[in-house]
Amino acid sequence: MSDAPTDETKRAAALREEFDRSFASPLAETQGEVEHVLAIRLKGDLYGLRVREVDGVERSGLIVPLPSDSPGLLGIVGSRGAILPVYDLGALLGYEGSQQTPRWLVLCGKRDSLALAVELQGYATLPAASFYAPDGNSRQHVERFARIGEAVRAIVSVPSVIRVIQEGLDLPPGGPA
Amino acid sequence: MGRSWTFGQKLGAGFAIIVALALAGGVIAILSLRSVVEGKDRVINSYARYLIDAERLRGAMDAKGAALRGYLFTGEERYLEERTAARSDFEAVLARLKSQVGTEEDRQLLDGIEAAAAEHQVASDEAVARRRADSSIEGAARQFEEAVVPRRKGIDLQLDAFVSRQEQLLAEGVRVASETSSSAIALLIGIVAATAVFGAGSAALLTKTLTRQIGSAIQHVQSSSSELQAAASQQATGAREQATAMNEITVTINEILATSKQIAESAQRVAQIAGESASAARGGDATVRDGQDAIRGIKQQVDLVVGHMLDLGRKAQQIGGILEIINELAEQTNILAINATIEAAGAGDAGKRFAVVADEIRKLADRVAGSTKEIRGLIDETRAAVHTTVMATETGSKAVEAGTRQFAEVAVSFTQIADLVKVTTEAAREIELSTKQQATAVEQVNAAIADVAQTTKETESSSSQTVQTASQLATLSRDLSRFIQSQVNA
Repeated sequence: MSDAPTDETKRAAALREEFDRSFASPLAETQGEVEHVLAIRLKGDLYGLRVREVDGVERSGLIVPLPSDSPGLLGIVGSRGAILPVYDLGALLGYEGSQQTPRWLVLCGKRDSLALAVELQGYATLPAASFYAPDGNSRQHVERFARIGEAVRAIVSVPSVIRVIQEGLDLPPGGPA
Repeated sequence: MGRSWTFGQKLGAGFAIIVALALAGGVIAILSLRSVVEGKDRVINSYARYLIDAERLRGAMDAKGAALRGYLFTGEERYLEERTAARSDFEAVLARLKSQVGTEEDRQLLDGIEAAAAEHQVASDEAVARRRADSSIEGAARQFEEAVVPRRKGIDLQLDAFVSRQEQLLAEGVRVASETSSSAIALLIGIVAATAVFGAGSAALLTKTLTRQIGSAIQHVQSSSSELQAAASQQATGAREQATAMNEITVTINEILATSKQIAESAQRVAQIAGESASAARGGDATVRDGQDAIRGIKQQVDLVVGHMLDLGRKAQQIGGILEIINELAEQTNILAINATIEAAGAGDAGKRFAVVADEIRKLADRVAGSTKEIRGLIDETRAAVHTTVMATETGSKAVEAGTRQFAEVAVSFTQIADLVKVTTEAAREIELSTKQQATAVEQVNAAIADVAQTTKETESSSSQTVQTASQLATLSRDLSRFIQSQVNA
């Protein structure tokens, strides 16, 4: 065995150094100028969700289907001691439904909690300046675009989605009476 | 029929007829001569002998008379003995004549002579008796003159009559013989004349016929000689072409001979190389057996490598399972970090520090996930390499097994090669021997072809001679034709 450091050893050292430096550095002062985004994929297209518009993320468990004419409703699921309706975010954006249910659920809606089924790709922190408005026609609920890495993602407005769902259920804003 | 006769047959027939005529003439001449000779013999043997015997009778009677006169004059007894002997001669001649004469008239004449002789004997005996009784010479002479002499004259008369008779018969026989000879001469003249006439006719006929046939034959000979000349010329040309071909064949056979020698040398080299190949094959057999042992060792090592590789694959699979756990933990940590970040964001300023920690945790979880992903890739590559190695090793093991079988087959093949090389060696030697025999045969053929070439040259010469002979034959036939034409015209 050679004692010369390998690439993996160098990487481990770099990680250790970066981890230690994170404790040595002061807290970032530009926290208010960044936006945390969940990178998702819907039917092969790249999208993003603002972290501040969601309540949590969990892996999809057993979804019990329900007979309903509500568009995009996949069924109900148990989460954190509550029963939540699960909607296919792709169907809500106008994509045709598929047989395969996404693996991840994005919890949102506070009191009127519901879950949106998505394919979670990652987590990104972007400067606020990275967002820009669409210059032409775009899908429903898309109000911004942002470049994450090399790709441009459409940022879906979760409140807009919740409002449409509630309108479809004929519920008053703020929950059922 | 006559036209189909050959030249020899016609000549033979003509000469046969002439010879037959000559034989007929000869036979007739012989018969005529025999008749003439018989007439002559009859004249000489019969009539002339009768005349001689008649003269002998006369002589015996004279001797008897002389002896009687001697006794009468002398009285001596010896004259009586002479008289008895003369009497015996007389009687013997007379008895022969009587037995030989063929006519009754002759026998009567001889009987008259015999009777006269008997009377003369009686008279003579009386004279002898008187001489003995009266010893006077005068009485005896008288008795002799009176009794004996007349008797003697009677005998002479009888003898003269017989002689005259025989002389007449002799003249008649001579005349008959002359007539027979004349007839035979005339007949012979006729036969000779007929033979001459027939010979002349036959000669003329044969001349005419043979002239026609020979003329035709000469024409045939002329045409045949022309054809023969043409054929001989063609044969001469063919002989020259054949001689040329024989030369080419000789050249080719020499080339074949050289090739046969080369083949023999090559076969010898092949036999030598085959022997060396047999030695190499035997060495190869031993090498193959060593190779089989080595391959068996390789197979055992390969089996060990396969076992280790399978263990390595199982270990990699176990590492993959543990890595799944790590990945699951990293993913769960990431989810918790995200949720912590979300909760921190919901907590406002109070959650900012927690948000920083949660973000660090999330980053660590991302890095762990990235590392596990890399490890998974490495493990997958390792498993793929192990799988590939196992497959390759199993393939190698199968190849080794196949190689083992093939080595066994190679060993068998080497044995077969050694046997075949042995057979090849024998075959090469047989080829060498056969080629040498072939070379010898080719040399014999070459010698035979040389003889044939010599014969062809002789044939060419003979053909030229035949052409010349045919030309001479044509000239001769033209000369003969002219000769026959001149003869016919003449």
